[in-house]
Amino acid sequence: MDRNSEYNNLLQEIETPFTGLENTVAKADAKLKTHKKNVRKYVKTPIVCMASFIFTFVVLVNSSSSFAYACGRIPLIKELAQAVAFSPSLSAAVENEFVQVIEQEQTKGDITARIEYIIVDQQSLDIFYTLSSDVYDDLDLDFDFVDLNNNELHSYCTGSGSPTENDLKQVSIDFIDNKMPEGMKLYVDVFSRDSVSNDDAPTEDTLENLISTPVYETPPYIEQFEFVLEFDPYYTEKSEIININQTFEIDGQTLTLETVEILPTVSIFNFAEDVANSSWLKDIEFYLENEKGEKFEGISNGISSTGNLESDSHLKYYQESTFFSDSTKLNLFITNSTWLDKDMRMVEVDLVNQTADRLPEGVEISKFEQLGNNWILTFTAPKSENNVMYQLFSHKYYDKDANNYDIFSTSSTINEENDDYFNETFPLVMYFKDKVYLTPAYSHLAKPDTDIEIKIK
Amino acid sequence: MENNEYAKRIEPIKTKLYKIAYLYLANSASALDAVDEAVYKGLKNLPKLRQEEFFETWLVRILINECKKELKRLTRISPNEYIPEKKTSDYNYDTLPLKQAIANLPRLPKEVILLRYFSGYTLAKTAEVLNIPQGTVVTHQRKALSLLKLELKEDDFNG
Repeated sequence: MDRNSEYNNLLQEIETPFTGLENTVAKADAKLKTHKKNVRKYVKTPIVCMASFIFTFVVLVNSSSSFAYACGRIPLIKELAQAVAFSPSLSAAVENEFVQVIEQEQTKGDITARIEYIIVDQQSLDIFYTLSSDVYDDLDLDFDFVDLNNNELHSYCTGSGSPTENDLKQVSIDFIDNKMPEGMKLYVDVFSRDSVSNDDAPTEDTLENLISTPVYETPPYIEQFEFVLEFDPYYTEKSEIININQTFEIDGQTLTLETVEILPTVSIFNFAEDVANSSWLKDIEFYLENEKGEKFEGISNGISSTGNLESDSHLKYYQESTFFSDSTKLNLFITNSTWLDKDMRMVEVDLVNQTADRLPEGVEISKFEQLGNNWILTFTAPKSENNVMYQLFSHKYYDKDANNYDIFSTSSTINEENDDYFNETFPLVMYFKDKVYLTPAYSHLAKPDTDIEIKIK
Repeated sequence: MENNEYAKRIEPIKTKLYKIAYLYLANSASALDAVDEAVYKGLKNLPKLRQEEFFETWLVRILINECKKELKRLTRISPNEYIPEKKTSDYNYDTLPLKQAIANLPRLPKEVILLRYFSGYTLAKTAEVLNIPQGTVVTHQRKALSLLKLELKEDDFNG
């Protein structure tokens, strides 16, 4: 059969009646409105201050003799040390040569992609790579991965990019409850940022920008690379699990610290809650201190806490690793906690009269306004003790018939009248009801009068 | 545009959307998924559509994005059936059946072919959907026909 006959046959083939599109719009509508079972974990990631990367590195490079030693063992170690300087755990890993050298390089067209190293343990994978070209400027990548048998891997990418001015870039992947695979196929799509139009990028948090969701456009990829990474078990099998099982009370709620898992790049704290508690634990702040007075605080490189499907609480917390500290004694000190009362899962907000039956501690209504078919809601709250803004409401809201909707953009800005406060503004898109039921991220904070101390070892 | 108006506007073009997705992916189940996802994203992003006269163009763009993502996934899962997007002009597309050959064409020549020869879009509308100049459409059209070894004249199709 010649090509033109094939063309005519194909035209006929696609004219053949088919089934499957009858309910397309209804399905879309249902997907948008019907409550989906929440099968994903609740994840919080810390905001990393880019400016601190360089400063920390300068201190590290100038003060650490073990760093100087490691410089002699791993090629390009200075660049690697710069790349991880923002993370005490990764810096300690580099100092202790806990680095798997990869040195895989591929050139396609005008682009060379090279993976230099990985830092990997049971939980986290950090890939350090370079992209270079004589033709293209400002190269960047999208990536995807499967295990060595082409199975999908469930993970969270917690960051990518270049933490410093040097050419070594980094991708961080957390595997949460799934054990690190033996290896992975990493697919890298390279594009030039110069070719990505920014015409549609919002330049400020205008009301119009808040109510419009950008449609993701795939950048024009120049080349695709495939790397096969095999993780050395020497790195992925290292861990120490300490059973604690100590119960304590905070703000009248009962918690138990069950276990601590100390991995080379992260320490994981597993708490359990008493089912009789009247509040869900949304956050707990603590640090570790060893016999040398060294402190280990919340993780700076990755996910800081996760929830589970059985509870609305966050019960697993990630701190900087003590693995390479040679600590003989370790004590944990709890300094603060954040809770959501179980009877405050939803709060009723009257949009027309601008009132709410209940709001999280310290939160006040600033203003509600209508923009076309949308409501724009602004709340005010005090900044946290460390002067940062935080989330007031989760991304789901409901009407009185329990139909659920998503908040797909939120703007947080410093309050113009009092810079100790901030405003959180978000839209209710195409929302026609007078009342809405918001889901608070917390109800109150509880700071113990004195830090709660728990002996780890 | 209200949601019920959206439903009315989808009805006459959903078959066309499916045909584009089907030929883009050479796979009926994946095409239905891509159309479902595009219709969902269209509904979700409806407030962003400022000029309703561009409704179809806008939705086809969303669909093509979904097809791209789906094709990327299929290429990973079935590397023997789908060749990676970055291809060279010396690949023998003429050895494949036409449907598979189209599905495996480089991105822009494929999109031009689907819109021009299977969806009846004019040169101008094809350029509008793909957001590229008309001259670029002509270039990719020529390239696609050459790779497919397909000889079609303007009056062989509805464009």
